[in-house]
Amino acid sequence: MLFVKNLSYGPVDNPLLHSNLSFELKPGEVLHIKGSNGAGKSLLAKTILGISPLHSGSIENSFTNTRYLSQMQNRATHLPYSLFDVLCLGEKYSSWQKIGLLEEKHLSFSWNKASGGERQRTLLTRFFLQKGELLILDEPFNHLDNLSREKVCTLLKNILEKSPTSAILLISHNDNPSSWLQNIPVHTLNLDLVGAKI
Amino acid sequence: MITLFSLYWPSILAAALSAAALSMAGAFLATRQAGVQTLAVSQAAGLGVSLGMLIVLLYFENTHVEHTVLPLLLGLFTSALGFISTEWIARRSHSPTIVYLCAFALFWGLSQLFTGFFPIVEKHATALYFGDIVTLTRGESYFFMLLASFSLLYFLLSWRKQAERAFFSAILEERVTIYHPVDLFFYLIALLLICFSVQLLGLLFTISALFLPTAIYSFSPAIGVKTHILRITKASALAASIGFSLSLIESRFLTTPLITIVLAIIPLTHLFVEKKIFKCN
Repeated sequence: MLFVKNLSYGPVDNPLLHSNLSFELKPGEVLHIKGSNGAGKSLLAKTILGISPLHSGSIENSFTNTRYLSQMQNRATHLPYSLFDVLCLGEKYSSWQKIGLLEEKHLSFSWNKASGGERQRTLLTRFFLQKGELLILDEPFNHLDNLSREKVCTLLKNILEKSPTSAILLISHNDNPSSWLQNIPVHTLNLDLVGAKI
Repeated sequence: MITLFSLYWPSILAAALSAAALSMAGAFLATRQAGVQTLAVSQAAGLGVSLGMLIVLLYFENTHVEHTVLPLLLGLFTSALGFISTEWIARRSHSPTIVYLCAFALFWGLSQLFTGFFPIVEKHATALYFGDIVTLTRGESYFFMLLASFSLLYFLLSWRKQAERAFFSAILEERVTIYHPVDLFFYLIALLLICFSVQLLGLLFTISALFLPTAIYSFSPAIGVKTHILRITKASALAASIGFSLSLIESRFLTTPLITIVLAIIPLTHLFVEKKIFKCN
């Protein structure tokens, strides 16, 4: 379970974005965090993960392992990574085909020349091949066409159906996951409506 | 000629190994968008080395200054300080590159002020910029061979992990991952290499070996991190050996500037041939 109690957070050396934020996420559930640009959605995920410091409050994460898909910065790299490199660096994932977001031909593509959609599909494939009960996804649908989008929705739904100990924290500013996650409890936290913005 | 080579082979080997290790460090630093920061850190290392030289010259009589470890230790200390301070400020800035450039200018200014104030270290300060590979002692050469071999082996064995960390640092803006063990060890080795290279081989050699091969090969149509890494490693080692050897044959060629030129010529020639073949196919 993920317990967030009286959390106050904000960028380092800047005023707090939110204070006294409390919510919980149980296994089998989805928490949809939404809000306009600059509402603090990505920073909230980073605070939960311990990447960004919290000002006050407490975060308890009892899920075994957390998978995190950070928001992709659609830019080039100095090293000439292929999509295969991105998929298999660190760990060798041989079952990438099962995910269904990439085809064999994509693997030899250069990251620097690939489209935003191809890049995002590669990162998502990598994400789905990792292990972890708590899934935190930051704007996973960016750059995706409708077909890929549907596939990602199905993959997320399958994870929750097949693994009841899993939970999803989805950051997205305009999607409504309730529409594609039938029978799965979806809670929404709208950071624009949380009146704690200072 | 054979006598010259038998005399200088440890220095040639040390230069080749350090160029190869530096080129790998440079490729990952460039991917982590730390190229300009390296410039500032190298300049900070030079400042520490000059300070160490001064202390040795003032307080340790009859000590062969090139053999002392004090300049190296102080260089390591100031470069670490330079790295930590620039990193700390850059994280709070919207334009880290400008922070690094300003730090470089400040460290440069401080070095100039220091050598001007203490003319006793001026001769060494010149060697610091343009390098003095030919004057490496046997002991220094063996030491550098050992350090470069260890660094090279570490980079070659962990290249997948290094490339992964560098990738996520660049694409996912996870710059805060400096405390991850892989990142910490990478920066530690890179700092050691840079500091010792600045002290023993000079700033020009260090910066050239770090970035020239990887910058030129980044224009190659070949895709894949492994290919790139193998190319830069081989080209750097070859360039350092050829440049050094040519400077022994023709004494009017200064060793470090010649190595710098060869470090550019070899990858450029390779790319030219590759692009011709690429077009033919």
